[in-house]
Amino acid sequence: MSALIELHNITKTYGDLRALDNVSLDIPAGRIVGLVGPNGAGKTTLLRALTGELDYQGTAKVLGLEPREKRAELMLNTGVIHDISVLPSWMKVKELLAFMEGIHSGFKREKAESILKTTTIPMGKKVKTLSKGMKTQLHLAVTLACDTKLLILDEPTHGLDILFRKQLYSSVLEDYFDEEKTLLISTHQIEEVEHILSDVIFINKGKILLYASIEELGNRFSQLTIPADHADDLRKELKPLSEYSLLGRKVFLLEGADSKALVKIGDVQTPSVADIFVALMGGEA
Amino acid sequence: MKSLMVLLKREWLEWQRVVIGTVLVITFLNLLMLLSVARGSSYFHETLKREGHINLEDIQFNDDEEFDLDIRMHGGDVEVYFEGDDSETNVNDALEKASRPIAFGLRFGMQGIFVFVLFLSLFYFSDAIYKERADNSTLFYRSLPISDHFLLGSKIAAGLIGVIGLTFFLSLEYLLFLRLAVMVWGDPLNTMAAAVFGQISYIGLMWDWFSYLIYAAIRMAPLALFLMLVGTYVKGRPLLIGVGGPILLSISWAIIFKSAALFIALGKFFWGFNLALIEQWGLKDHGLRGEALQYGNPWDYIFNLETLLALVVSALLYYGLWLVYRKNIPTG
Repeated sequence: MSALIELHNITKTYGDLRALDNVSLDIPAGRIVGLVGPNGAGKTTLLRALTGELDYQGTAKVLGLEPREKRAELMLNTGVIHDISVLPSWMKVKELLAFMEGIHSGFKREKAESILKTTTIPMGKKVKTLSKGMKTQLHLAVTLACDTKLLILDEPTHGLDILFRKQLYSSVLEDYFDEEKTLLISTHQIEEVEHILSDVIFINKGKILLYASIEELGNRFSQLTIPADHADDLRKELKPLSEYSLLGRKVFLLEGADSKALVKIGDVQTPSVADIFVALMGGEA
Repeated sequence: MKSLMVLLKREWLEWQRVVIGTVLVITFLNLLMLLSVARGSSYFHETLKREGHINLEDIQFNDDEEFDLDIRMHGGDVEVYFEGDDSETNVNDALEKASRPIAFGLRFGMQGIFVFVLFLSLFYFSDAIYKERADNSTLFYRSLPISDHFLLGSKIAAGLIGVIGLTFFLSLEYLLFLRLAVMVWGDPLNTMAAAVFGQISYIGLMWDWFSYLIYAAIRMAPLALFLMLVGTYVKGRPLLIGVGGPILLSISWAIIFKSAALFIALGKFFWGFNLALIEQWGLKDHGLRGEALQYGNPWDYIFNLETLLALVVSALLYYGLWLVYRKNIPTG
């Protein structure tokens, strides 16, 4: 089966700045992919390239379509939620639903209304009068009601409180995701989504640092906790990606080490995605 | 086509308050006119009853020769004598003279409405894309399965439909109020005006007015697209920059090259609308002769070099607009 998203040597420059630097990716269907990077890493630029929002060099295919040339066609099966409120501020909620019904052939009004019933969003209010959390909920409701094959969330919880954040991801999983759909979530708050991800992409300075499944991460990276007085000897031998002190002990994050051998040296655990991310960033983030 | 209709409806929803507000303002002005006419009529008829006659001297329209009107009560009727001569041969002349203010009122009112709507349209076209950028909704619209051409086309179409439709509707309303005003005034204006109004083909007038608005829309298209283009990249105040830019350029041109060529070109551009109507309605050379309006052939001014040039410039501006719109430059 061909990949849902195929990127080959995608480069985007703004003057001297290379926002995307030879990015190549193949993302299959049925995955929940986290696009993780610090602020200014190129996450939003990459997502906008995927949705035909900007010009780039290289070749890209999303759902078999070239995003820049076939944007309208692509958007029939792609939903996007941005990091900022983008709904027309003058529109009333019910007008927005009617608009979506007329413009998007995949939009199911009943589904949008049933999602909205679980919120406190009033149908007769204008978008500009809603709180930031309500605007995100509303956008999510109309996007989920389009039942697209690909859903792109660009820092969707930006500026939202903890309750809204939890609701948002559970709503996406309950009302949207199944094994035929693909979810691409961009975030710099990895702890928030790592429990739902099947794959992760680390990006920094426009370059892909890592693209792997969560299983692969578990096999490839390990976290070794050892007594502090053994650290100097083991550091030379194991060459950890990163290390830190914890309750008088040293914690090493290792790549490609043999877990069975490590057990003999100290306590071995699978590191969190956030720890791997920090280690790979090497303090750059 | 369904998408286009939905997008047009979106424009209506966004701008309906402006449209309804405009209709209410013009209706209010028409009502004021009617009220003034009623009060004037009352004063006129009271004076006529009291004095027995009213003499109006040295009346002149445009560059025509001056003339006097003597309005007298005869029995229960009001009679009009032209230059003091009561012979019947002067009736036609009197009608002709009376037709001048009616023709002027007709043109002044309808063109006034057109200019007013045109002024409002400047706000629409400069804000059409700018407002989207300001609330970031360009990102929302571009995340939907609609092509950029549909998005832009719907805004241009909505603007043109709005200008033509609103001008047309308000002109009809104005005509109705004008007739009412004449009726409210009563004789002798009513009888004289009835002779003039009776000879105007209203279907012809409306068709001609509609054709004129199409012509005006084509001529205005470069300006509309220019304002839209400005609205796609400025950080703020698109109307001020869109209108002020060319004026500043003209001033700079005049200072640097000591030539008012750009001012003259701008003046000619706008005055062209007036000239076209004067020529089209045969008002320039021989006026409205108490006969039906003598319309020219609308195709003559819709299909000519000027409109062709306007279309070519519009096409280039549209291409530029599309390229910049795709970049979605943020306002902040």
